[in-house]
Amino acid sequence: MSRGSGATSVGSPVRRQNVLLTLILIVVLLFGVRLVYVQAIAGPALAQSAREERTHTQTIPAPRGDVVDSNGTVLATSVNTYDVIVDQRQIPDFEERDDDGEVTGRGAVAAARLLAPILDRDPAVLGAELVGDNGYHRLVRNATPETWQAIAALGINGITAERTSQRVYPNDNTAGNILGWVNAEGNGAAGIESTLNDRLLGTPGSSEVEIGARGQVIPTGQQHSTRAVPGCDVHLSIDTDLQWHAQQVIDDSVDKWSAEWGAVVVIEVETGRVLALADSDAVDPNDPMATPEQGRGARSVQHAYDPGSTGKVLTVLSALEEGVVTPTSPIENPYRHTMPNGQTFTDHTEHPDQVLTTTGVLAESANTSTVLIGDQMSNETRYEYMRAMGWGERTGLGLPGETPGILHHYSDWDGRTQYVTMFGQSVNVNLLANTRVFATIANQGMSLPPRIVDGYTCDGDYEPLDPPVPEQVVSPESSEQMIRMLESTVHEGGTGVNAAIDGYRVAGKTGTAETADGRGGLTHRAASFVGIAPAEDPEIAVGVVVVQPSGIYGSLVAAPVFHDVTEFSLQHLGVPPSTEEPDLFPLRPEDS
Amino acid sequence: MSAQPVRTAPARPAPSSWRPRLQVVRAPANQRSLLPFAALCLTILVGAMLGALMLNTAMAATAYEMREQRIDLARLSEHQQVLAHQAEQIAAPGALADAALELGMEPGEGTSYLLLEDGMIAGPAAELSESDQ
Repeated sequence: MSRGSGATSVGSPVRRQNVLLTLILIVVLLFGVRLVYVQAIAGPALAQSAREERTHTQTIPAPRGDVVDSNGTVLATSVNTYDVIVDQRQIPDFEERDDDGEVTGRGAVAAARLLAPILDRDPAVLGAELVGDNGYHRLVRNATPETWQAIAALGINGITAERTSQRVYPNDNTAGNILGWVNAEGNGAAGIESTLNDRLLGTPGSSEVEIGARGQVIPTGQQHSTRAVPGCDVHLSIDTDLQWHAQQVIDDSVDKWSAEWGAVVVIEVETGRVLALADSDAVDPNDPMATPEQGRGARSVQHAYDPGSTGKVLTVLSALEEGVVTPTSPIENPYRHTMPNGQTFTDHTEHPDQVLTTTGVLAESANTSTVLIGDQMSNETRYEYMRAMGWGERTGLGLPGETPGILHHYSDWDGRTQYVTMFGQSVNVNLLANTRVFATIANQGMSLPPRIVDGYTCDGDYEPLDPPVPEQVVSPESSEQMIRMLESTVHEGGTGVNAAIDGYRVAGKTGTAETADGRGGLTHRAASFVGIAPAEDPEIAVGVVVVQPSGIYGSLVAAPVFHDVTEFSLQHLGVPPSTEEPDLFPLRPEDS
Repeated sequence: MSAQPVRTAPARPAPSSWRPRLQVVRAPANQRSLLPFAALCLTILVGAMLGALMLNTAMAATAYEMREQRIDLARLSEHQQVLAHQAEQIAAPGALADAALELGMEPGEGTSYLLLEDGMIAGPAAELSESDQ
């Protein structure tokens, strides 16, 4: 390219430029290719992985619904708590400094000294828990938020917390038998908590945000969140004050009579709502394991006992409804009576032969006369009344483990069973089912399934449950007569005088029966009283059973419990006292 | 340099008597300076960038603030929860009964009635009103 050969070769700038240009082009090309690769080909994937790194997905826990009573008093709720976790490997590096930045203590000893007053524990024991090579040691379970904030303020490296939720029952063991409790996973393990677990559980939500290094949300980043739907609040028909009082009374009675257990139920007769369902020594759901296993449930529905003499009411009611007797029909009452098939029955106390009215039979709880009344109806008829009144089936209250009791079909009744069923033996029912019979009588013969749940509040809206449809099982006339007859029980000459309440007319029936002893025998006794108040315009039916008391008669053991619980309930519910004196049927034909 | 002959400048033509007629012309209009326009552009550009920066900064600051507030909110609602639970515990019938007993109160005995016809008190309270008189 050089032109003059004689001239000094100084190189061609054009060539160098070309070389340089080529090099630059190659580099630019490489950059371009890389750019296209990064932006166009690998771009979406890279952006995605970067976003994933920034994106923080958090499950928003759905709070479990509360359980409240009929007045809105909270019976079960959930509170936030913290499990304090220690990484023991980091503790030796801890340095305690004073205000001037001087190191005043190191390691587990210093950490334990600082933590001990907050946790109210012995520093030596606490210190031992901080030493080791466990990266995940649970130091405290269910610490309150305040406790965790105090611990967090110490700034000890290696101590962190996990937020948890704790189920709490502010009323301790009041209604504990109904509520049940939740297990460690937060699912109901007993009681209402268990049967209504699906209602109480909410649907957890999730929140997806892009976050910066310090945990702040990047405002221009993608955000996406699904709201957590909290569980429904369950409204029970229980009245906490009534429930508490009933528990006190039954506890006192069980203690007084050294009984095995006892239970009381209060039913609002017009609606079938259960206002109180008390079991003795009820479980405290805050600490269920402190109660022996057999006492953790609701024996009021889980345990069936022979209704005994309270069952005579059903026999006499059937007889009234069938027109076999009237309240004043004269009935023979021998102390001992042998039926044509050779079965012999006796009354509970020896007495000369006498004649009672039907009312007198109930008031004196005469076995032989009851058999004579019942014998005027077929087994099938009596069986149908028993079924209609709810014997032999679960009430469907909604508590776990409810027993249907045992009511054999009448075709399976043997020579003795057909008679003893007339006074409530060889059948068994739970207390609630037995009280339901009286609630039906009190509700003009209309049977209502007892219920304990009034409704639910889901997402702020209260949805009451539809009231059950009452079923007329006996006529209002027979029911009215029966109530009037049962008023005699609590008056002179009756077995239930201890159940009488000043100012209110009450009707009821005592009962004493053998019941299963859990060893296959029938050696245990159940003393019971079931009644209705006020007799002239019934509001509540109250049932009491005390199992294996040292005094065996329902009149002595169960009637006072009925008195206390019913008196308190009537006052608490604002039921005005009775204004009229009862118009009692005569107990003996000669009195009329 | 000295070796080269000194070139003499060509003799200027002798000034002739003709002179171009001079006349005052209007000064050409000054070409408009680009400076204000450039400044305007720059201002808009810088302003926009600063604005965006400030907006972003403000958003980031708000994000931090939201985080703080959220932490505060969580703490306060936890506190509220604890207090509500304490109130529920204190209001529980069992706790109330214990507190009342501690204050020297006693459970009422039975039901008392005020009879409207004659203004008399019936029931356990009757004895109390008698002893007051």
